Amino acid sequence: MTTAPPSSGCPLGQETDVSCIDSSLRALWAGNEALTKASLINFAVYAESPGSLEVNTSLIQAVTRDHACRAILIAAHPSEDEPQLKAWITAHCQLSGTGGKSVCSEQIAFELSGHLRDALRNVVFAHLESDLPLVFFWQGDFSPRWEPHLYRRIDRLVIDSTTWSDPAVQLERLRTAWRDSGSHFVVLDVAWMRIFPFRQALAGAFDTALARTSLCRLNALRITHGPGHRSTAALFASWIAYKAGWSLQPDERVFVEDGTVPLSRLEVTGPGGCRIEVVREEGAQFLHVHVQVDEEEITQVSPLGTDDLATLVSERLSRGGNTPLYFKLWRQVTGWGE
Amino acid sequence: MSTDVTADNPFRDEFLTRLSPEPCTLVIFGATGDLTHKLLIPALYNLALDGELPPTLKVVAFARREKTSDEIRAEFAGSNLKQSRQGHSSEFWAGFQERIIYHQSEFGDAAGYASLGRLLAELDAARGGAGNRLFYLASAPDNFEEILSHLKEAGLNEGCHGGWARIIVEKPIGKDLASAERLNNMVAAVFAEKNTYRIDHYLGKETAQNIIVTRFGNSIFEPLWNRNYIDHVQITCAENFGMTGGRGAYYDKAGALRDMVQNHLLQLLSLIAMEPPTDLSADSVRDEKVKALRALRKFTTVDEVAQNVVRGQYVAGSVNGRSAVGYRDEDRVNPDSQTECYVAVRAFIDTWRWQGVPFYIRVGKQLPKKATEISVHFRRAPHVLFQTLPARGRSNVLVFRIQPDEGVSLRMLGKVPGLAMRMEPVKMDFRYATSFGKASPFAYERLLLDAMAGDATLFARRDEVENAWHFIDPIEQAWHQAGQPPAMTTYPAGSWGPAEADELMERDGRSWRRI
Repeated sequence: MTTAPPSSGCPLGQETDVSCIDSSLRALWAGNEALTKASLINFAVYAESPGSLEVNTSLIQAVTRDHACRAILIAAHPSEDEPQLKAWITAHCQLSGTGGKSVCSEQIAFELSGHLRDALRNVVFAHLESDLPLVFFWQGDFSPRWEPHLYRRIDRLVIDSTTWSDPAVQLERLRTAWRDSGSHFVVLDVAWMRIFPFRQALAGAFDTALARTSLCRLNALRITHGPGHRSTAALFASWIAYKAGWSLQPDERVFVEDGTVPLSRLEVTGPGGCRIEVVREEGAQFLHVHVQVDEEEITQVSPLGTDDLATLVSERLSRGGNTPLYFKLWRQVTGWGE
Repeated sequence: MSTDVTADNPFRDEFLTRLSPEPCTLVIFGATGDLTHKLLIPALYNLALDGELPPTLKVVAFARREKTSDEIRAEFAGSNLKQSRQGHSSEFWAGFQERIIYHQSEFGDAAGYASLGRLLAELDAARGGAGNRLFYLASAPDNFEEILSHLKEAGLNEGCHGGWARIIVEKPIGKDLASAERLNNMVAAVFAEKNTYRIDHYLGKETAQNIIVTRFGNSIFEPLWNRNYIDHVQITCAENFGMTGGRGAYYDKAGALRDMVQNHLLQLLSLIAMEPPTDLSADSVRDEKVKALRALRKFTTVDEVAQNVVRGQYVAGSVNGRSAVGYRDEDRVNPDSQTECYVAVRAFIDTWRWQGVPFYIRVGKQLPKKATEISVHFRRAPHVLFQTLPARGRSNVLVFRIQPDEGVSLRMLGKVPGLAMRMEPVKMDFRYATSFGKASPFAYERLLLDAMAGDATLFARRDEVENAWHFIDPIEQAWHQAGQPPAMTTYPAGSWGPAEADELMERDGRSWRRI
């Protein structure tokens, strides 16, 4: 359950002078014994899009249900001439299951304009909770603010590759930074989480002997995806090919844009009526899995997951990441030359 | 023919962070009982909802009453609606319930087992794989013997086509050492020890598993984990209710010592006291737990029992604003009952590590709170600097909260701000609910999955159970067979137990931790 934060009014909370953030935060908690401050990670969210602070405040409100953190939101407006740095503080409180206490996560929001955009790393580093890992959610394309002094201090990097304008270019920047950091940070792509329910459903299908007997016969796949999720579909296809040990030729992989959800259908087929389908029906609460091999058929249902960004981020934070595998899958996608 | 195993599924490997459950048929004996309705079916449903259950798993509900599969499915749906951790989806249930098949038979009817065998063979054939069978004894213990003998007679105690047959046995495992040995022999005559899973749901709780992680995953605790630094250990299991739901009939035959101490609390004690295992395999962990249980000092005389154990019954009182009757006035309890519903034990473990360190165990009904926890009380600092300050709360205490509000806290001294040198205990607190957010799977979910995967780490081995009875039996004998047994004490419902239990601690210059 979510409870009201200790400050109210502006959705970003109470505006405060940057030099007074620590004392303002202390004042936020003073005398309120029903609130417990909790923090397991430093969670920084950076965006250069207009209105991002309000949107990301809602994101943090949701993420803190599962991940107590010190949230640091930064909105940069590099194109503005007048240098300005503004800050707000607030807290997101959730009523804990026992004892009736509210467990709260602090949020500090910054708006950086003009030349102050270069103050990004300082703004982040100056407000980290000590000893806690730094999780950094970089939204959109990597800009000049993505620089070594910053990314070498990151422990986990959250991205959403579906928002990239040019995945190949962005991926190269990311890979370069990762290597330069000594493979220090783990990459957590939200798009990877979007395909998780489909990956889980496919794994469930291949738990059956019927599907596994068909594995060597399957040789083509078709993925139906929503607008803007072509790269997600390609990443999924790459994962399937990697896991099954296939080398997919262009005519063996088809991506169809249809519908509004990120992924709505996966069909893996082979000769002789051999077919495995994972389908997200409109309005359904679960994925439906159909395995058909020769005359035999099995159907299953599997968890559907969610499209909500906050839930996806929250889930992504709960799971580990395999960055070398992630890059390997992308290499295959970019190698497809599409 | 290829089999339904997840291990050679190329799409599955990265989802596996532990042994994977193998496709099998789960046969529940006593399927119409409370345990199945309230715990087993919701556990299976939630596992399926999380995508953790093998897709081809079937559940055969074996019970005596005339019923159809549709009827038992409807009944299970009703109980799942109330009990499921993640709520109940009619759409998902519709698919899930197809796994459940009702098999009507008396427990003692050989024909019922023959037809069960045919049903299992059909299910194996439909699954197209090895005949893996997991039997769950969820019936009353009185039925175990005939179930086991009929399973053997029908040849169901072995898997088919290279598969396995395992059995899960619910507590109580006996009511004393002799009956536990008898039951264990009975099980051993039908199932090998490696295929026998004695369930103790306390071991499935996150915080119980976290004891091993805290002790052996952190470098700061283990050097202090011995008689040089630890003053004593307290293990408390308090319940703020009495004989609700007709429980008196069972409880009055068992008592707190057999119902809780012999299994749950001695299991917790063994996790606290064990030496580091060489690895995390089931037998390595259980070998070390057994050594700790074997080293528990047995009471050899009635006097020793009287000196070290307090038993009690609650009398009328008030709990959480409601009046409570005394134990002997409870429904289905003998008005002259000599069964304890409170027990406090002072135990010692005769090993190099624990020589002279008392382990105080207490468990009771109708206490002020519901709480299970282990507190490790460290020795006080030498006090060279602070010897003139009050003694209260001066020692460090590490607390494992098993339930509710699962977590770990460490009490330490801090200086009170001000000009005077004044100290107060402060608490560093880790709570599962606020640190990890996500709800933990229920203990039964974890344990069912482990049994399907063949991981017995969180199940009690035969020698663990029997060594626990070795410790418990002399106490029971002193209470019930001695000419002049130690007195049965009383305490008002809603209090923290009999005064004699407080005196047990006070004699050692200690007191029970305030919970």
